[in-house]
Amino acid sequence: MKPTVRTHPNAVVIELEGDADLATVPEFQKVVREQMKAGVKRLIIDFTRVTFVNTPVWAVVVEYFQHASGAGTEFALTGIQGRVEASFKIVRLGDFITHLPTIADALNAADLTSKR
Amino acid sequence: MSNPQPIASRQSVLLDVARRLSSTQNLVELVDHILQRSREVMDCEVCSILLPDGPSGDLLIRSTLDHINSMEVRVPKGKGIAGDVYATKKVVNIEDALNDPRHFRPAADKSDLITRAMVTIPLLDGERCLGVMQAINPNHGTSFTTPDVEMFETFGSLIAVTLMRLESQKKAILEAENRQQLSLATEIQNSFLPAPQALLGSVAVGTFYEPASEVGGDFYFWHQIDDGKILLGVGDVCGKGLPAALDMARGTTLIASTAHLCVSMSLAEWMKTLNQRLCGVMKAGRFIAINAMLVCPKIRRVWLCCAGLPGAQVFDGAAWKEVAAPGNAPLGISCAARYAEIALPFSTGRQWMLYTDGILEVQNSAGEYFEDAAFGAAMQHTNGGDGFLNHLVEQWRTFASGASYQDDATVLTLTDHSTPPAAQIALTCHPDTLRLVREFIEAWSAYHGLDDEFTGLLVLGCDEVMSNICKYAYCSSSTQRAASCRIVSAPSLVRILIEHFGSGITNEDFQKLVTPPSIDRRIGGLGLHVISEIFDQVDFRREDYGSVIELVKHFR
Repeated sequence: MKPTVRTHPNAVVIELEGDADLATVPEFQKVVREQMKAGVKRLIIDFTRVTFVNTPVWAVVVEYFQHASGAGTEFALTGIQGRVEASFKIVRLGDFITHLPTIADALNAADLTSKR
Repeated sequence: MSNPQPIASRQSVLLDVARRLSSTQNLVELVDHILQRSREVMDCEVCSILLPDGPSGDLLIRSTLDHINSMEVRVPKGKGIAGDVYATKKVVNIEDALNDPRHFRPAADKSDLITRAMVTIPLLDGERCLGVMQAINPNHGTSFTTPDVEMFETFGSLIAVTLMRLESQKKAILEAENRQQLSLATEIQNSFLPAPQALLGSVAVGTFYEPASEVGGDFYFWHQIDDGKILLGVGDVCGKGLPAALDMARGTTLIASTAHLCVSMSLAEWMKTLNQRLCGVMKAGRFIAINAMLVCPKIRRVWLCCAGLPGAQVFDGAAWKEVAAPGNAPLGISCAARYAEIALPFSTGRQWMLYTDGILEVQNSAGEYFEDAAFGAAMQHTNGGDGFLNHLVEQWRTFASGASYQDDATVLTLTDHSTPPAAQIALTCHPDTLRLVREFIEAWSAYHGLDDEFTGLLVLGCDEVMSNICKYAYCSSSTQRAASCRIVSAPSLVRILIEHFGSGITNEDFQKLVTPPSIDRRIGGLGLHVISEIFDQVDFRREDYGSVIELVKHFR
């Protein structure tokens, strides 16, 4: 899984693809931490093309969420479906983290913090 | 009055008639000849033969008087002297028939003959009376003498033998015609059945089909549907003979024309549709029992719908067992009938068998039914070997030999020849190799027909275990990173055993470490939470050689 970073006028989108597992965590973590340093105003992580996610990957997501909460950054996950959704439900991150069906939904939202 | 013929002359005529009897095939021609010669020998005015005609039991007269023959004169059953002799099988020799109370005037009036003396003899085949013969008005006296009667009886015996021969020939011709028609009917009926054996991808279909007579009400069917599914089954039409064969033809034709619906329809819905169509074409009081099976080798699932026949059998690797499918009403009885099915993984067994009740209900000479003990013994004896159908049929035939009654009997077998995936994987535990475990579980689950949601959870749960072993059981400098994953299925659950040689945790450690998700602190123990959420039983054990994690998940 090679994360792809796309910059939009009001946000940065990290698009993931394939299996997100222990082997891919270092690369994903690196990309996410770069965005922490960059101080983006709105970060979106898209799972539309992801086929598998385990807890080490969710741990990276939580790490960014904790950073975003302190830094005042808007943060959302998009495209969570199928097996990814099953995993997402078990770890119950949906209770805390904003998640929307598509990237467009997240880009067009006026305020992501109210969408949880 | 003339004198009767001398005895030598009478015997000569008798001999001539006897020769003629053995050579002719035409009954009317023969009877006319006999009557003419009888009249000569008996030296009388008229000779007649009266034979039963049709189910009414009337006696139809054939006479030496041509105008009688052209009128087709009948004596109703039990009427007249002829009717009396036919019933009593006793000779009647009377001088004045006209005044005999038994005399049947309507027949006599048609002949313009003034009947005086008359001898009537029965034509006998043992106790059976084939007809009667009459000689009327002797030219040589006022009555027939005892030697006349004896000569007439001798004639009668010859005629009886000839009638029997002709009757037997007629019967043989009729039987041959019937056999030919039944053979044609068998051929036509067989044309409604598919090939008895077939290899459909990795699925082999075998059949045994034995109607109790030339045509039967049993049938089997198999159809490969466009999307790779296979629809197959056995059926048993109520009743026997041609009506059952016609309904069998209706049933198989409707099955063939609707099989494609199983692409988008469940098996139970298809049975409902088939039932509605059969209700529209079958007569009241007739029905068809069908056990049908839909197999999808692609997603490795099987559906069974049993309507009025004994339950399907499956060999689960250890023994033949009856599939606990819900029972349904036979088809063709009620348009409103609903049908229920059971869905199972195709891997439940390598061999499946459907059969009609003719297999179970056959009785041996001791009065035992095949289903009492012999069926079970025959099935278990084969132990799931490829020759199980042959063995079952052989046992069934032996059991049924000498049986006084036998129903149509049909068996359809299905053998899955696909190669099962490995049930175990050994690997060096490393983040890059964890996908191998996921692929292993995916392949095993697909073969065992587990649905995507269930499979996804198994994959996630095992990956969490393997990830923890990678991160914690083996420290980063470990060179010994061996691990294995073994998976076992039972009828109601999946059991996964993961072994490694690192430092494993215990159940107590697990209870301490597992934490519910929280966003307020650094995430930790979340993998163990996922494991505990997915599996119904989790057991962490330390063995002498290493550690074992046993995971059990029940099918819902």
